[in-house]
Amino acid sequence: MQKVKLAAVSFSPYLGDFEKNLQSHRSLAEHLAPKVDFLFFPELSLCGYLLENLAHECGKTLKELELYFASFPPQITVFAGFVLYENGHFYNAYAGFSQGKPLFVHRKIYLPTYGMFDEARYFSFGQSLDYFLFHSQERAGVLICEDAWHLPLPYAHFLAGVSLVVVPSASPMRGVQDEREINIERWKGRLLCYSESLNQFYLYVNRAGIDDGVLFPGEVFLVSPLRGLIPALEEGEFEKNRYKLFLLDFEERQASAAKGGPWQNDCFSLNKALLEKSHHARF
Amino acid sequence: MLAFEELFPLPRVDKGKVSSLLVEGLRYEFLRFGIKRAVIGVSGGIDSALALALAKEALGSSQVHAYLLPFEASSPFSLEHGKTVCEKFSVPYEIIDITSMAKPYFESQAISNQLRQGNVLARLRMIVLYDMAAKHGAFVVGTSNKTELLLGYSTLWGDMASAVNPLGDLYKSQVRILADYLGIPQEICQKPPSADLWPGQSDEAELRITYDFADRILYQYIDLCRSREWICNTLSDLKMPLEDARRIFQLVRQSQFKRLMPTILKISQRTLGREFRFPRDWMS
Repeated sequence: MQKVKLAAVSFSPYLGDFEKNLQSHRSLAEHLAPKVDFLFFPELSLCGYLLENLAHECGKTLKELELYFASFPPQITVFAGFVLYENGHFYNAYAGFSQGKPLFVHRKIYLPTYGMFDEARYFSFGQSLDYFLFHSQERAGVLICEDAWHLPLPYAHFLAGVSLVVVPSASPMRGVQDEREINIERWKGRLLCYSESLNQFYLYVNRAGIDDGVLFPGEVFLVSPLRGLIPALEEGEFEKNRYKLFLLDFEERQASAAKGGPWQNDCFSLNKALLEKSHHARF
Repeated sequence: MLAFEELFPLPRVDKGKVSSLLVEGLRYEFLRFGIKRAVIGVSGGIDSALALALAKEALGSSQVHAYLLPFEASSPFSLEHGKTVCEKFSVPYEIIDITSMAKPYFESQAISNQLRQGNVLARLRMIVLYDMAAKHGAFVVGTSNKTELLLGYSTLWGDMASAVNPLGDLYKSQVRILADYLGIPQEICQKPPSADLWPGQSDEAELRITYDFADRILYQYIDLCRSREWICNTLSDLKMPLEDARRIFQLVRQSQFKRLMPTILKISQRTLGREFRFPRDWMS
């Protein structure tokens, strides 16, 4: 089993300024390359969140992104969020790049369009959920922010044997004075629950800064199915962006499996039958 | 290779259709709130003349109150042209010289900067118009066109302030066509556009861009969603300089704050303008 050193940055992007954000991504990658193998940025880190029509100005093709990431240090794999332009569609996407090549691309499936959110107005819905090989043998998947609030998606990653789920996010702070404040504690509760139920690691990467008066908490954390929240190995700041370094030990998943848990008894055919039955009951 | 005018056409306007839509729309927006009167600041320029003509068609000449608000440095032609347009459309007008409001402030604060003075004058005119609207139970009719609004060539909380703006979706070139169609006197239609914020001021000289060029570029950029890259590449192919187009893009970006309400720092779960979204014409 392998141990992996990774870094996650609670990055604060310039709204709609792809070039400037790319430069900051590159500087951070150069700064952290001697320390870690993987570097994770938040949702839409290369362009900012409240883009509105800027989304279309920020859209890049995968080919263009390959060229941009070709100048990054080769020894580190960098995961970043961006607007992907592909076949006449704009997607809220997230990808990992190694030596300029994309390892994997996830297109956000659930685009929140309620409350303060308006994503489906500017983006098309992602249509697939895949995994990629992380550190050559472990399976990893991505759920971009709202994706993680839709229960079938963590479950689908579980069925695919994914051991690490990365959750890049641009979830804003809201309801600071309310009892049910939507904040990092709620994210921690959600991902701890998934981790415990599905025997998976969850890496949460939220952004910092403010877009048009909307504040972002700037928090990252890693959840282990064995230990819950994992303390950071190191915390730091580079060019005003804070980051945390974590040691991800996949052996913890094996230990968790040895201890046993509800995932062992998961029965997909029974779940499917029950879902279909309740679906008929409802409609 | 097509010529510049063909690749970058001016936005078209169906004079009869658009003017009747604007008149109908204006009437509807007033009456839905039970407001029968309009207040308009008439500068002597083509934009306020067109707004006045539309308001007169929508509400009737006796329901429109025009205000001519000169400052001591204003061009005498502005006042003359303002009177001309009011008389042409039989709209009653009043002249309120704002020198006595502005000058003591300029002197007390030693303001000699023309831009600061111009903005203060625009905001003082807004104060007068809103007070007159309260006096008459009227709405203030806006006079800023789409080109000005996009380039940010207007004063926030000054001449941008209004209850309803019939010109806000018309480029300057479209304003000219409609003004001509509705019979705005030629001396007003033909004179160089000026905000008259200081003697000899000319919009195009100050912006360093002609309205004709701005409208052609803005129409592609805003209405047709052409990318800045496409516009610049096409201009390059035509062997035309790119500075003016780039300046237009920069002005649009820099003035975005003027076209939106002020930033509210979000704390609650229902922030005004974010989650709390109701139409302006709520229940009317």
